[in-house]
Amino acid sequence: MTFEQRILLQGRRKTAMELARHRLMVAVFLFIGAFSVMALRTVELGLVEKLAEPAERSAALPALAAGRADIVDRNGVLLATTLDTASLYADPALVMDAEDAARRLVGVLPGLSVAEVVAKLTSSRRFVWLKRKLTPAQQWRVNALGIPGLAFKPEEQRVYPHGRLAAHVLGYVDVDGQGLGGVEHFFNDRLTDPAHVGDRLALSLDARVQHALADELRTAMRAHSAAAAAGVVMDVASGEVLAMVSLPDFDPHQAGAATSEARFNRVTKGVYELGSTFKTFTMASALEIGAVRLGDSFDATEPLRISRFTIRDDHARNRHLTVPEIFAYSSNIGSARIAHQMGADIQQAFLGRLGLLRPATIELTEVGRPITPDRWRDVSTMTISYGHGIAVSPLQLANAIAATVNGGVLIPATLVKESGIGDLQGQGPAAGQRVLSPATSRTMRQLMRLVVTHGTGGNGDAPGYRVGGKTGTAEKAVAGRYHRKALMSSFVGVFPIEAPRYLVLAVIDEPRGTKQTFGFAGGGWVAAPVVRNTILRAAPLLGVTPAVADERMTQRVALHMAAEDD
Amino acid sequence: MSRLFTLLGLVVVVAAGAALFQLKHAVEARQAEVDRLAGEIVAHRKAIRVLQAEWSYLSDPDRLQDLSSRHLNLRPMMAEQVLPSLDALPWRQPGDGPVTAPPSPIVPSPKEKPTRAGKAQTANAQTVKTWDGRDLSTWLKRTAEVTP
Repeated sequence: MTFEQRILLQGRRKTAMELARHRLMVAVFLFIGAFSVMALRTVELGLVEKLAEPAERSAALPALAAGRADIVDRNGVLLATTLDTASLYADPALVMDAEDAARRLVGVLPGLSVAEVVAKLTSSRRFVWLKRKLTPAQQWRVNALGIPGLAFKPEEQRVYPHGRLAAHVLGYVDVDGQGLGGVEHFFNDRLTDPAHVGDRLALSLDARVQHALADELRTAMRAHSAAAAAGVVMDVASGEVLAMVSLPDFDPHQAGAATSEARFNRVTKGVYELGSTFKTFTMASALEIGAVRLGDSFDATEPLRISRFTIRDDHARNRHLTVPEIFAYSSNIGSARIAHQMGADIQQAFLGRLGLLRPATIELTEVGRPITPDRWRDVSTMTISYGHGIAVSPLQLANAIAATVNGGVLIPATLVKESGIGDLQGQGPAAGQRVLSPATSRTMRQLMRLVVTHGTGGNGDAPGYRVGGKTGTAEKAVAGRYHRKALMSSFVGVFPIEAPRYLVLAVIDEPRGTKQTFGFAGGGWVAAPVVRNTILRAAPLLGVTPAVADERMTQRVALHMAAEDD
Repeated sequence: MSRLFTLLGLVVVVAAGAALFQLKHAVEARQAEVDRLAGEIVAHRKAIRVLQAEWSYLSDPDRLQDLSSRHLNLRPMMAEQVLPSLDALPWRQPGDGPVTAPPSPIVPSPKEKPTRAGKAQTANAQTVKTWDGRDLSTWLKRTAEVTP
């Protein structure tokens, strides 16, 4: 190796070393850059992302999978809920000894029959239901048998903790949890909507008031050996139904076992000729259009004959009666004369405005269509004036009476608490339709108070709660003729009458007179006490302050009544 | 120098690895805890649903009425038992002794009620006094305010 060679080599080696060092430095800087980015990101994650993290974690909770939303009353009392339960099924291919398995199974589930279970366990299918919806105790006992081939499938069961209470409003579901009646049916889509399953459906019902009304109606039904009964409590200002009772009723857990008679909702589905309570509308329309004035008097000395009908008075006075007297003593002759004077067209238009000629609008599918005359003849006008010849549901009557006393605004009845459900919000009085002037409504309140203080509705007065009302006693049409013994007795009460808040309607089907009612079975004897007792029980719950009734209220209308000794 | 640097790097790598391992374990333990708690919450929610149903079942008005009529000596409250306001309660000072007469309710009880014949006279002279002599007629007028 020469000197020159060495230098040359040195020079060549040196350049190679330098090149390598430069390249290494580039790599080092790249690594340093990458690591500092990672370090910064770590610091950032540690400082900033930490705050957002817990919120994400908590969302990971498994949602509670209830298949159907709860239903509560206006105070949040649970009326219908869904609970987990287990259903027993079998895979027959895995069952070794069907006879033995069936015998042991029937030993713990007495509802099953051995022959039936054997048939199921020897069938060629791979899946047979043995019993749906076991109680936890039954499930435990079946499990303890340890029979191979049997298994449980978690299912949901609809539970109505209050049993029969409000069964007609709530309705019922089939074994697969689909609503078949009542609000369960009407709101089926909403109740099963997965997005809303956590929201409870708040009804306008008040469980306590519902019970008070049902209890009183049941007592009256028993005392008078009646065939059926129906009742409504309604908020006259909002149309909210606080109680809706139809008797006989049924257990929604075993709706299938109930008779169709028991499942029939008499308040909304049944239409009846409701009798003298209709005089309220005759009076209201006649006073509204000025066809009569309070001081006018009409001849009620003897029964009124028109074509082949004879119109009689149940509480006959056999003299001329003024307008307040006709209403207070519930004179059929008088109101027929008023209606005749007013004319069929006005009567028909007014009843139509009160919603009595079309089916009621309420959140139930069981709604009856009113029966109205095909041709509105003179005799129809006269009989309709006192509630015969037209059949409406008790709910329609309650709704129309509420409109008569609340200042004259018809507010459709509702079963949903205001703001209880998104798409039904804000049904205030503004949503109503004016059907009467406030002045006529005030006169009607005075007249209804008069019925209780001086007329046929004395048994409806609840001391301290200023009840106004109207009795109704309709003869039922049996085989095309009115039957004088088969009655439909009703009473509609409104309280406190000077500024009405609630309406109570009681209808009793075919009551019989008792010793306490001196053999009478009319509305004033049978239905009015139900309304009185319901008010006495419900008014303190509803926050109505008792006060001494002011007799001056009815002075204006009472002036037109002749003093009588009875 | 470079040997020291390498050694330091090694130590850091081992320490970081150990720490990461530790952290992973801790996170797994936490996750298991979260899953357990979530399961517990679901179980509790289910229990709450059952208990709510049971509470509603046990407070069924029909059942309460039956229990009340069998075990309590209570009747539904009547209008005569409602006091107009706290003012109707007698004002008592220490040492006044026991209350000898009940305060006046808004609605007089039936036995005090004026008969139909005597109504006209009593309506004019309706000065209602509490037992300690205070006049309640102004108050009564206010509560009986009506739209004539």
